[in-house]
This record gives sequence, C-alpha cells and structure tokens, in this order.
Amino acid sequence: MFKHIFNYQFKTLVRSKEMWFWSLIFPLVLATFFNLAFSNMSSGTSFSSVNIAVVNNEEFQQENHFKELIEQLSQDNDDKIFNVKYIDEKEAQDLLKNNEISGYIIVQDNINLVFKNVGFNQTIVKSVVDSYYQTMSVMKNVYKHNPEAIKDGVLELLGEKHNFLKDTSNNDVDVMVSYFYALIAMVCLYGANFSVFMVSQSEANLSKKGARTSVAPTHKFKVIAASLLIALIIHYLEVLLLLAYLTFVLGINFGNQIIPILILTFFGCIAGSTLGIIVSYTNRKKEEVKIAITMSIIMFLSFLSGLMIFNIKYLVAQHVPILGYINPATMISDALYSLYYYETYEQFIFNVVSLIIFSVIMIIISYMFMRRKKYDSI
Amino acid sequence: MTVFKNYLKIVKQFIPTMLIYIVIFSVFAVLASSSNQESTDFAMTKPNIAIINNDSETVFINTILYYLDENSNIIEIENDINKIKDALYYNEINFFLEIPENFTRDFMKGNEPQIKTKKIPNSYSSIYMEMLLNRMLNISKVYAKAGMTEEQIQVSIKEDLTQESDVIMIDSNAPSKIRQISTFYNFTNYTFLALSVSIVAMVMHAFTSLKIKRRNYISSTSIKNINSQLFMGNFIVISLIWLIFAVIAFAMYGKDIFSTQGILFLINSFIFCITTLSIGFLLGITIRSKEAINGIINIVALGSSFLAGAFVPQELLGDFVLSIARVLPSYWFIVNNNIIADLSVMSFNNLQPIIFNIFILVGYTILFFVLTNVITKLRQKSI
Amino acid sequence: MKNVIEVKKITKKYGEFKALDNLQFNVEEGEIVGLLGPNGSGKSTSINCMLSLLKFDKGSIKIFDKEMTPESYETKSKIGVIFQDVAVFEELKVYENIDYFCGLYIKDKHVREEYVEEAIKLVGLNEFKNHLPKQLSGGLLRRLNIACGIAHKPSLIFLDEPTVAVDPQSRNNILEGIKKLNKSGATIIYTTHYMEEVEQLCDRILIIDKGKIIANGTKEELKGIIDIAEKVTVEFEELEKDYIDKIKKQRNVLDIDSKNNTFKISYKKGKNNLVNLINFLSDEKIKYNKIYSELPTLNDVFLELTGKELRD
Repeated sequence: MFKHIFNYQFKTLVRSKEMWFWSLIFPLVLATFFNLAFSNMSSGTSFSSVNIAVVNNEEFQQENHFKELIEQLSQDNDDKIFNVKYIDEKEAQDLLKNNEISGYIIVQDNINLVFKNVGFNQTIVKSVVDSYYQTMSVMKNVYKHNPEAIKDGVLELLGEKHNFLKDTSNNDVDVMVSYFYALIAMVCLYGANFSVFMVSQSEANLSKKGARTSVAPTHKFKVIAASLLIALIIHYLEVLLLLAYLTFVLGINFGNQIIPILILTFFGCIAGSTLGIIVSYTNRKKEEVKIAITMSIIMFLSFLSGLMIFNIKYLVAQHVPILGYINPATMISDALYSLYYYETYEQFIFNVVSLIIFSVIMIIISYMFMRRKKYDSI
Repeated sequence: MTVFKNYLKIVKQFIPTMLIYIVIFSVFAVLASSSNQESTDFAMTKPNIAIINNDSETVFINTILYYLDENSNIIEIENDINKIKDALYYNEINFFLEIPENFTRDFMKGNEPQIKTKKIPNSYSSIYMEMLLNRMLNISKVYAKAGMTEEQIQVSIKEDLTQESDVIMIDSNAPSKIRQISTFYNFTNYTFLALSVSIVAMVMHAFTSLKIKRRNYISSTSIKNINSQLFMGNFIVISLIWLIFAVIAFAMYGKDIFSTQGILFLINSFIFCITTLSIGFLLGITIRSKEAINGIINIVALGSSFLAGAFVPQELLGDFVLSIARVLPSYWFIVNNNIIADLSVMSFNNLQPIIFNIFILVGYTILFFVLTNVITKLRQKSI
Repeated sequence: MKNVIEVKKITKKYGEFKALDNLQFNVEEGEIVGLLGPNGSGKSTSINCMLSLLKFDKGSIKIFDKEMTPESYETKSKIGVIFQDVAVFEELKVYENIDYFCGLYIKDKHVREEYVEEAIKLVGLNEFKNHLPKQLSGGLLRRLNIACGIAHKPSLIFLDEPTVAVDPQSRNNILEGIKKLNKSGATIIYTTHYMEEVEQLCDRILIIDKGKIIANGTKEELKGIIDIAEKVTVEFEELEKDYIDKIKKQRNVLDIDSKNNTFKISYKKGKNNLVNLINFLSDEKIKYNKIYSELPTLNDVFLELTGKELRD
C-alpha cells in the first residue's frame, strides 16, 4: 500500500515539472549571482584609487617629503592609491561639495584633512597621512637617539614592511562562503513548499483529491507519510545538485567534509519539510495563503541567519541568542561554518541534534492538528 | 471600468497574502537599516580584541598592550581555544592575538618572532588591527636596530602615536540620519521588488488565467484598454505599498524624511515602485504557472539586490559586477539613493545625475510596459 | 430488506445557519435513492457527514450497521464516492489515476488491473487510457471522475451531482453506468437537482430543502401526496376575459395559471378531465390552437411542498 502510494506520488511529482524545475533553477541562478557579486569582494584588496585634492599652497611646496610621498602614491602603477588634483582651496571645497573628491589635504601648521563624511576612502587617506607623520616622528627619534644609525641604513627598514603576524584562523573563511552557507540553508528550508503541496493533495478540506483520499479505507497518515517521503527525496536530490554545482562549477570550497555536509543537508531538508507540514496543519487557509506564509517564514529565517545581510546573524547572536537556537536556517549555516572553521565536531553535532529536535517538535505539533480528521467545513 | 472593478475583486481575495508579505518585508527593512553597525568607517569605531600573553610582563609587552588599548577595546577572555573561536564566531571579538613565549627577548635580539592571530575573515576592523599592529612592530624594529632599550622604545612609541593629522569635517550640519535612510531605501530594493512583483504577478496571474483571458479577448474592449485598466488597479496597490514604507521611514527617522534629501528618497523610491510594478506586470502576464512565479520572484528580487548592491554596499562590489548590474533597474535606483545620501548642496548641477537616473528608471518602466503589450498581442494569437 | 444507511436526526450548523436540521432517513440494500433538492439545500453536506468528512452537531449515522467514523476502514472499503467536482491528479494519465485511487482499496495487483480495466470499460474511456486529464473534454473528465470512485467495486456508492454541466451523450453514458452498477448489486445514493434524472433512475426519492427531508417515497407515491393529478395546457386563438371564471367552475379544476393566450390548468384526481375540457370548449365555441395533458412532475411536487421551483 505504502509502495503503491509512493510510486504514484513519485510519478506525480516528477511530472510536475514546474514545481521541481523552479525549485531547482532558483538556487542555482542565485548561487551564480552570489558568486558574481562576491568574486571581487573576497579578494579584499581590490579597490579603486581614491580621488583627492591637495591645496597647492606654499606650505605644501615646503613639505618636501610629504610632497614626494603623495607623488609616489599617485603614480600610475599597480600601487596607485590616489588620483590627485593640485588646486587652490576654493576649488577643492567645490569639488568636495560636489562629491568629486573624497576629501582634500591642506598643509598649514599641520597637515589637515578636510572631509565631508567618513568612510572607507577617508580612512585610507587618513591612514596614509598618519603613517607619514609617524615615519617623520620615527626619523626624529632615531636621529636624536643614535645619529650614526641613520648612516647604517636603519631607516631603510622603515620601507620594508615585515609581517610580524601569523594568521592562525583555521581556514580562510570569507564572507562570501558564509553567504553560500545561508543560501544552502534557505534551499534546505525550501522543502517546506513541497510539503505544503503534498499535504494539500491529501487533505479533504484543501482539495477534492484529498476528500477522495479521506473516504478511502487507507490510514491518512500512510498516504501523507508516503507523499512527504517522496517530496523529501526529490528535494534532497535538488540540494545535492546545488552542492555539486557550488563545488564543481563555481569552485566554492566547503572543506573536505563531504559526509558531514551530506548528513547535515539531509536533516536540513527534513527540518524544511516539517516546517511546511506545520504550516499546512496549523491553518486552514487556501493553498496560496499557505505558500505565502511558508515563503515569508523561510525568508524571515534566512534573513535572520544572514542571507541578505551577514551582520544580522551577529546581531541576533548578541541580542536575542535564543532566536539563533530555534532558527533552523541558522542551525544549518552554523553547522556548515563550524565544519569549515572548527577542528572538532561539537558545534556540528549540536546543530544537527538541534535540527532533529526542531523537526520532531514540528511533527508532534502537526500530528496534534492532523488528528482532527473531520472538518468543520469543506 | 469593468476590468478595473474585477481587478479590485481579485485583489480582495489576496489581502491576507498581501498582509503577510507586507508585514514580513517591513520587518526586514527595519532590521536591515538598524543593523548597519559595522560600517566601512572603521577608523571611528574601535574593534574588540582579546589577547593571550605567554611572554612575561616586559616593558615592551606593556608598550604593545598600551598601543592596542589606545586603538581597540581589550576584552578579557578565558584561555580556551574553543571559547576564543566562539567569541570570534559570534563577533564578540573581532581579533585575537597570542604573544608567544620569549617574544620580547627574540624581538630585541633583532629576530622576527611572530604573533599568532585569529580574526574574523574579511572584517575591516580585523584588517585594520593587523595593519596597526604591524606598523607599530615595524617601527619598534627600527628603534631596536637603532639601539634603543625597551624603555626608550616605549617613550618614543608613545610620542609617535600623538602624531596625527587633524581632520576637519565640513557640512556637519547635514542630517545624521540620512545615511540610515539611504540604507533603508537601498534595502527596500529587495522589499519593493519582492512585494510588488509577487502581488502584481499573483493578481495578474489570477486575472489572466486562460478562461478569463479568452473571455477578455473576445470582448469588445481593446487589449490596450484592458491593460491600462489593469495598470490602474496595480498602480493603486503599489502606491499603497509605497505609502506604507514611507510611513515606516517617517516612524523611524522622523522629520528627516521631510528634508530635501528625504523627499528625494521618497521620489526616487516611488519611481522605482512603478518600475517594479511594470516588472510584475510583465512577469504576471507572461508566466503561466504559479510555481514558476515564486521561483522567478526570488531570482529577480534576491538576485538583483545582490548584484546591484542593495545588501552589500556598491563600493564593495567589484567593477565587473557593477558593470553587469548596470542592466538592472535596481542598479540605477541604488546609485541614486547613494547620490542623494551624499548630496549637500542643492544645485542644478548636483541634481542632474539624479534626474538622469530617474529617467533611466522611467525608460525601463516604459520598456517593460511595451514588452507586456507586445507579448499579450503575440499571445492573443496563440491561446 | 436490510438498511444500508441509517441517518438519525442529524443537525449541522454553520454558526447560526442550520445546514442540516434533524435530517433522518434510511437507505435499503439494492436501492437507488435520489436525494433531490435545489442548490444549497444540504445535499452535499449530508453526504459529507455520512462519509464522516464533516463534523455534525447532533445525531448519528450508521452505515452497514456500524457507527461511521474517520477510522471505519472496513466500512469505507465498501464505499465508493463520486464528488461533485472532478478530483484527479493532473499529472497522472487516465489509467494511472484510476489505478492510484483503486489502489487505496485493493492491494492485489492483478485483481486491481482487472478492476481498473472494467471501470474504464464501464465509463467508456477505452480510447483515452493514456491521456492526461487536461487532454479530456469536460464530459470525459466526469467519466474519469466516476471511474476513480467506483473501480474498487463498492457495494455502496455516493454520487454527488455527477452530471452537472455534462453533455447529453456523456450524461446518458453516466446514467447507464449507474444502472449497471445497481444491477450488479450496489446500493446507490444519488444527489441532483435534475428531476428528470431522478425520475428516470431512482427507486426512491428523498426531497430535501433547508436541511430537512420534506418528502420520501417512490415517484408515484410522491406525486400521490400532492393534489394535482393532471395538468392541461390550452393555447387559445383569442382570449376573452370570462374564460378563466368559466373554466374554474369546471369539475376537478384546482388552479389556473394564465400567460398570454395560454392557460395551464391543474386538475384534482378524477376521470376524463381532458375530455370534459374539450367538450366544454366546443360547447362554448371557444377556438384553440393546441391542447395537451401532462402528468405532474417532481417539480410540481417540490413547488407544492416548498412554494419554489427546483431550479432557480
């Protein structure tokens, strides 16, 4: 009996091309977009030169070293940091007001930086000028302490930037990968849509087919279990395809943790599926409304797990940590992160167990609603 | 006006669905705009760091600690690798460093011992911390080479640190909330797209279900007329959505919304809403299955939000992406938001690019409407 | 005869509205029972209650001598239901659809194969076995809908308006099919608001209105409970005012319904009503174009019992 239902539900779902085609295509396209959007970002160093102006007054002409530094940094080569315009103060003010430059430098008693707002570019400008100051100060101090040392070429050391830091973060996990984690989490939860679809086919108050199923001498639970199982399998296959696409086509590195990832996404799909079940059973609205509710919940959970803005996840962890513990999207993305980031499996196991607990709770609540087998209205 | 009346009837059925979407997406927009904490201006905010020192409390170590304390908030933390990782993972600290045994001795000898660090990948504050710490150690190396003692280095370093350029901010009278408003409206790129495309497409889909479509086509009303009545209906719905978000913006940012910049944000977002309407119109009329609509909405809304910089600021996206993003209406909407946020002086010159971008949005809108009409005409022959 | 269904004083409320009001009736084995009533009278609601799809507020329902519950699987296995709306899987072919639903009742593959083939033959879908539902016309879809409900050879079949909006050919096919099923031993409950179908098909008729059974019997019995025994229609060449009064005075005349030049005259039971009228007309030298006599229909029964037409 189970096999009979299973076979036919399989046929039904496989032939609902629109259903699985879009649920498959959507994550692939989105993953491609992600990859496109973040491919430049993750390299981190790429930034375009900053437009600045220098007020070309006498004081500036006298600061020889500073003048040299600015010229050096605005030479057309790979290390070019500034696009510099040498103009008078009035012009500089106008350019700044019209946002044609990020700020301008005016040398008076001191070197002053004039900005309109503070951002990435301004920080670069300030950091360059500060390092000039500090280098000057270093030179003075060295000269005061040991003039001989300057002859020995100590100051040349200033030019060479030795790295005293050794990054021991396990892997170079970058923000980009975290977005993919959130994407995988979302796609796992997308299984909820399949559940809503399947349940409405077997519930009398939701569809005529459901009514027909309800009058048959088969335990409704059997029918639903078979349909959900087939939905879960097809959905899981879709997730596997996504993982394959991410790994082999886009070349995203998830670490050599294939089996744990397969286990995790499997339980993620189950969690998604149970989410759909509970939406189906706790409200008696039309299928469209159910889909809207499901989509909103999935998007909300994904949002909280950092899909759109990575920072949200941290804010949640800091201010409302409980939300992180009950959000399956966070559980999935955290587990993926931990597989890559931690040496131990503690976090991973914790998250997988959380997913199982989440699913069980969803099923228990759904079952309580499901037991109402007669309806007030059809 | 029968089409229009019919439209409103269909919309009525979708009210619960619409409410769900509106509530959830408003929550997104509000949370997103208030999440903008780790901004790009890291110079102003001090990162949280944790230190484990395995060296003895030498003068040099104290100098390092002093230097770090000046530039960051030092958080006390247990010496447990997993605790530290968790702290990093949950962003309690941005940067962690472990000073090895005999660091001072090796350093003063002129060797180059290394400090182990852990950081939140690609976070500006941790990159900034690395840069500062390396600069300080490189300077100390020069001092050590020049034969200074630890104490002399300490004095000199403290002196160097006071050397700083002076920053003068002009136009500080600009309303401070403008940036937040621009983040809010950049995020609404997603909200408006997802909302209006799903609502419009949903209603249009119901409206153009095959039977009704056939009935429409055989009626004496022209397609253009039908489509324009439908547009009216959609327009009212979209305006309501826009209004809701304007009210939310007002609730969050108060009178700043009525500043010149605020009003420009409102205008820009209204134009964009109409563009999203035309996108929804096109999708609703061309796509036949409900399942497809949901998938496409997600691709359109999430995809273009990522590519055009609604979530991740445009300045952080690569040139290549941005040049691709140029084909998306979202790109021009967001570019405009950014220009408006930076606007300080009202002049024709300054307003010109804004107007130009609005024209581009209007152009897209017209294009989508023309496409809708063309496609309905082609479809008419093949129902 | 044994009672297959016993419905006792069922009341079902939607808020204040009573959809079923102390509904009570029995169905005997081998009968075709027609549940006749206008739209919204409670036909579908009563069927859904019998199938225990719907909750009801008061009363009890026994099917095959057992209380009906959602878990009455043994009872359910003997029931077949054909719903008002077509309920099939869009993605499954004709054969597959019937096989799927049949499979919920019959486990044995070979038996099922035989049954499904028989059902297809019964409804005449042989040529369409491998078609998808969307390739079928409305009438064919209805037939598929029926095949899905009866393939497992139920001994009790509920049909909820299976012929609404069906072309005449399919309708005849469906009605023939129902007769065949009845002949092979199935008890049938049939709801409709087409009185012709009920008259043609049913052994017994229950007339339902506002959730109550207002009449119960064979069509002859039902027609016997009303006063009208015969209806004569006359179309006059020219109409004069005193005709109504004159005709009203005739023997057995109950009522006259006049429209333009046409009178519809209702008669009580009695002999030679039509002959009497013709004689009267020729005596009076009243010219007429047409005159004919009809027996009362169920619609007249319904009209007299409720004061409204079956089909609104």
